Amino acid sequence: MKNIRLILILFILPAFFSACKKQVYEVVDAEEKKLAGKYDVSNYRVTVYDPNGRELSKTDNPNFGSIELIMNTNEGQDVFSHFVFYGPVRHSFVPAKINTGMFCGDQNESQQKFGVHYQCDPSKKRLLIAAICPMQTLTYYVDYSHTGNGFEMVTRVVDASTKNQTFYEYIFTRK
Amino acid sequence: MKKTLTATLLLCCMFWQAKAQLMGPQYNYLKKYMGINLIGGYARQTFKHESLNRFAASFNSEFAASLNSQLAIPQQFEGPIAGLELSAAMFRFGYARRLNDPMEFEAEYKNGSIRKMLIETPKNTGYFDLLMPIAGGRVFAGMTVGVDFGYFRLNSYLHNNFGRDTYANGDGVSGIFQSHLDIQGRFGGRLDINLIKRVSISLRAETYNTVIGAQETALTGWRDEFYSDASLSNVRERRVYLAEDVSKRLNTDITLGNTLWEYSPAVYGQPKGMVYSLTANFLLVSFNKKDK
Repeated sequence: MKNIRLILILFILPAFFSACKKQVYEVVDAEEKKLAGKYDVSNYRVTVYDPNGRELSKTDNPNFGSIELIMNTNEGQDVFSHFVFYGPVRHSFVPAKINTGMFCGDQNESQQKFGVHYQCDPSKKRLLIAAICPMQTLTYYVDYSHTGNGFEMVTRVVDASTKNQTFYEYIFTRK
Repeated sequence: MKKTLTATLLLCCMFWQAKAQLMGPQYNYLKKYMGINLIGGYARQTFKHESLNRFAASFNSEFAASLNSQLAIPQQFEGPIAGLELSAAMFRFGYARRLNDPMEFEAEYKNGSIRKMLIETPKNTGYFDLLMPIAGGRVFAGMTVGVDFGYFRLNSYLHNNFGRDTYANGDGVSGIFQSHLDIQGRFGGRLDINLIKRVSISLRAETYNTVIGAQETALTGWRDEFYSDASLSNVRERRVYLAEDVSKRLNTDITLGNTLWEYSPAVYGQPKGMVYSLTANFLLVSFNKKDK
């Protein structure tokens, strides 16, 4: 009886907990599979609000290039997938939170594409975007949500000096 | 070893008693309480999570100048419960599900934005009760032992003053923070009063606390949950306490604005407290042949 209990404690419980942990990446993979594919950027909207939430400007950029989400091949592991932007979007579009002056990410001028890495966390409604820079990897989160035929990505940046808030909305429609 | 022996002895006594109940004619009067009970009622649960409280205190202190109202972690929640129970008179095996809403709390900023937080608590409890009959079985009183999956989820987001909710705010305290899975035990007392045929009410008071915790390392808790990309948003650095059990770690605070997320902390610890419940029980299926 004592041995059975020992076996329970030593093997089953850690297995149970590690199974729970493994599920995290399974959930991530399943979501990345669901998201993988090519999308049109139906709209890229930039809205600027003052610190009190009053709208200062709104810019819509319909049909603004395209993107492709490429699932990594290492399923079940903590490996990032690829997020590639094509067309006029390129790097200036992507890193709303990255200092574009530093210009990070994987740029291919001739093909007009710009790539970053990402990992999605469906339970937390966010994507972790990672851009490899010369001295460091810059990472930031963006919110995302599924729409009927694609997904939306939003993020907000606060200007340090003016405290104005810029709200970026990306609407992706599956091709 | 002593505990194991005591538990074994108790189990033997219980099974002996169970056999006596089922076989002994002197226990025939208990048979009318045997069956499957449908239970429904209301439960109030205290919620004590020291590190979350401390986190709220430090948040309020750090952001005091920009807050209209402060963040206060709720100390209790309540709501309806429902379940099924297998009753062998003195012995009850049951399952209860809490139907309560998540705990919601918030702090309003002076610019009109609102920091909103929401805690979802575990919903399911399995339990075993040992009850002694009093007054010819009209009253049962005894102990209850239960098991919960200790787990809860904290949603923290900003309702911006321009009307949109955002989780990814680069402020280090936004996100959906989920604790790892622990097993929590319940222990307490129960009093049953049989009112009319097939209908009884139960009063319970139980403590709950973690009994089996997952192995906790810097990588298995709420890793990166308080990761901040605030420096990308040019937010000035602030230090707040972590929502974690500090006994597990040496560094007890996080610098918001620090992008070294790989060193950002895990969040540990489960809540503990008391559960009080009042339920009405209906003997849905009776095992007593005379009762059918």
